[in-house]
Amino acid sequence: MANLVCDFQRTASTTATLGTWVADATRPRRLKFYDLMFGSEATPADAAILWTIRRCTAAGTSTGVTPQLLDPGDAATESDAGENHTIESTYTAGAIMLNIPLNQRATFRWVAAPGGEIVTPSTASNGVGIETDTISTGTPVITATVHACEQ
Amino acid sequence: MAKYLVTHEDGRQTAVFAADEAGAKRQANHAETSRVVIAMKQGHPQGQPPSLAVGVEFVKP
Repeated sequence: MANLVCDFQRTASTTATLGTWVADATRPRRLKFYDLMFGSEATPADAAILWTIRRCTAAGTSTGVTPQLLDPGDAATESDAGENHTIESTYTAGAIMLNIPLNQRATFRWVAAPGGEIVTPSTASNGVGIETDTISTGTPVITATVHACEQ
Repeated sequence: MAKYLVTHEDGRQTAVFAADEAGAKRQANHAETSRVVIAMKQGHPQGQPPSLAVGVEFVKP
């Protein structure tokens, strides 16, 4: 069991995936997501952004992000994370874990209530993705920091 | 979907997840462009100039 953190970044685009974090294809393990922070570091402007965290069953095509151990003494992760997708993840219809509408100027943090973590199965390539379903205007740079426990 | 290690012309390497080697190269080139665009939008130093993906190595499924 190890606590991990990933940082995702991209220029936002409607329905584009910011990042995904999924179980390894050959050595899948469960992930428990317990802390998510997201927002935009672009020049402050008014835009309505709908942030959606959904279950996915395939990660899509993305640039690799190495999940970092919060405790360097833990074993290296088996999970796979990616950002800045050019081919979207395969999302499970209706499996929306969080749906947060925000102004671009706002940064949002979600922390799981004890026992209320978002848990993904130990099934190959299953995990969660963060996408921006709606952006009213512009293509701001967006960032998310995600903490999870691998089990 | 598999993990690939893409080597750029200038010798840097990018890890990507893609369905095949062609997709891995496209993603690595996209990442290079994005890196510069994001730096420009933020007003940060752009770092090394973008470099084309020239080599692809399979890492794991």
